[in-house]
Amino acid sequence: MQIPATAINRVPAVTTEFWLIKLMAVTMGETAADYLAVNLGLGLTATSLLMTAVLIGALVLQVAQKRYVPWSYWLSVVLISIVGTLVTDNLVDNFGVSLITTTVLFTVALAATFAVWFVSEKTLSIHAIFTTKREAYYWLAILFTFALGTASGDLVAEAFGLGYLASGILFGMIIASLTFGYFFLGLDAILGFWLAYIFTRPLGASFGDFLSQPTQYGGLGLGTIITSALFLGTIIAIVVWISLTRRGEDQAAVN
Amino acid sequence: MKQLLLATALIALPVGTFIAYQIFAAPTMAQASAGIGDTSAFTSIITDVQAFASNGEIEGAKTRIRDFEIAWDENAKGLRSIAPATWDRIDGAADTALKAVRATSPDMAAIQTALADLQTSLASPVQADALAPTVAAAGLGDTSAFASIISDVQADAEKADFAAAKTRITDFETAWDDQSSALRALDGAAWGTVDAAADAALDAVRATTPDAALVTETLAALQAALQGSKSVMP
Repeated sequence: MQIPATAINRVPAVTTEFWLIKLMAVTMGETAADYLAVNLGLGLTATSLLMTAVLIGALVLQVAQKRYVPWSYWLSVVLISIVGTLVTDNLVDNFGVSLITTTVLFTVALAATFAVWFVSEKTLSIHAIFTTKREAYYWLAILFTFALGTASGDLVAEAFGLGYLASGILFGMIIASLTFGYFFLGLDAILGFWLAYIFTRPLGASFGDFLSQPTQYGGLGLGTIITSALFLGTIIAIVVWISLTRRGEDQAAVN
Repeated sequence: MKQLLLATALIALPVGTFIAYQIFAAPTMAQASAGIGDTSAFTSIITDVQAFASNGEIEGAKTRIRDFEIAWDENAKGLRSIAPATWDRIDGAADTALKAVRATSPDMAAIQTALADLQTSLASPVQADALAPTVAAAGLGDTSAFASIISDVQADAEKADFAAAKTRITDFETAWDDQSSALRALDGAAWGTVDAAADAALDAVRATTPDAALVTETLAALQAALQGSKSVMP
C-alpha cells in the first residue's frame, strides 16, 4: 500500500505522559473492572459482554479518526484495559482455565500477532501506524498485552503470595531494568517498548489494588470507586492538556 | 536472537533478585501471611445453609448460600493475596457446595457432604501455605484495657448504679468496635467468643429494668472471655 510522503501516525509519541496515562489507564481499568463486576451486581460474564460491546464501538470510532486524537485513543486504551482484565478473570474464574495456561495462551497469541504483523508490514514500529491495517494489528497487540499482563501479573502474585506493594515493586524493577537496557545496553527500542508495555499492566494493577483493597488485606482501603474516580479524573486532565497543547503527535516525514 | 536474549536477561535479573530476597531475606513475611484470617462470617452463613438443608428446605438453602457466594466473591481478591493456596482450596469446596445446592434434582446426601467439606476447609484457614510453617491462632494479645473498663462497669453494677454502668459499658463498646477489624485479623475465633459475651453483657446492662443477677453473671462471663482470649496455645 502506498504510504504518502507526509504520513500521520495514528498513535501517540512515546513520551513521559504517554507512560503516565498508560499506567493510570491500567490502574483505573483494574479497579473499574472490579467495581463493575462486583458492585453493580451484573456478574463477570454479563459485565464482560457489555464492556466488550462498548469497546468495539470505541475502536470503530478510533480507527475512523485516522490520526492521533487523544480522547479517542485513550478512551480505547482504558476500555481495552477494562475488557482485557474482565476476559482474563472470566477465563480463570468461570471457565477454570489456570493462570499458567492463560499466560502461555496470551504469550502465543501476542507472538503470533507480531509475526503476522511483521510479515505483512515489515515493521512493528509504533511510530509508523499510518494505515488502518497497521492500526488493526496495533490494537490487537495492545489487547493481548493487556490480557497477558493480567494473567502473568496474577500468576506471579499467586505463585509467590506477594502482597500488592511487593508485586508493584517487582514489576517496577523489571521495567526499570528494561529501561536501563534500552538506554545503556542497546536494547532494541521497539522490543523494549512492547515488553515494557506488557509489564505496565501488572505494575498498574498492583498499584490499583494497593490503593483500593481493604487494609486487612494490605491495601490502603480507598475502595474501587474512589480509586477509579481519582485516576479517571487525572487521565481526563492530562488528555485535555495534551489536546490543547497538541503534544504527543508523532508525525513522520517518510515511512 | 541477541536482542531476545538481552531482553530475557534484563527481565530475569530483577525476578531472580526478588525471588532470592523473598526466600532468604524475608521469610518472616511469608509466615505472617500464612493464614487466611478470620472466616467466622463465612462459616456462620454455611451453618445456616446446613440448617436449611437438614430440614429439606432447598429454596432457603439456595437463598442463603447466595449470601455466602456474594460475600466470598467480594473478599476473593484480598483473601487470595493473603493466602492463595488456602483460598484455592476453600474456593474449590465452595464451588462443589454451590453446584450441589443448585442442582436441578438436589441430592440431599451430596449437599450435606459438600457443605460439611466446605466447613472443614473454612475451619482450617490458618493452615499455612506450602512454603511457610503452620501459624495457629495467637489470641488477642493484651486485653487489659477492655478488662479494666469492664471492672468499672462491674463496680457500678454492684452499687446498683445502672445509669453509670450503661455509660461505662458504652465506652467498652466503642473501644471494642474500634479494634474489631484488627482483633479479628489476629484471632477470629477468640474475637468471636468475646464478642458474643460482650453482646450478652450489653443487652443485660441496657435492659429497661436491668436484672442485677443477670448483669453480674454476663459481666463476669465477659471478663472470663477476655481473660481466656489473651493467648491461645496451639
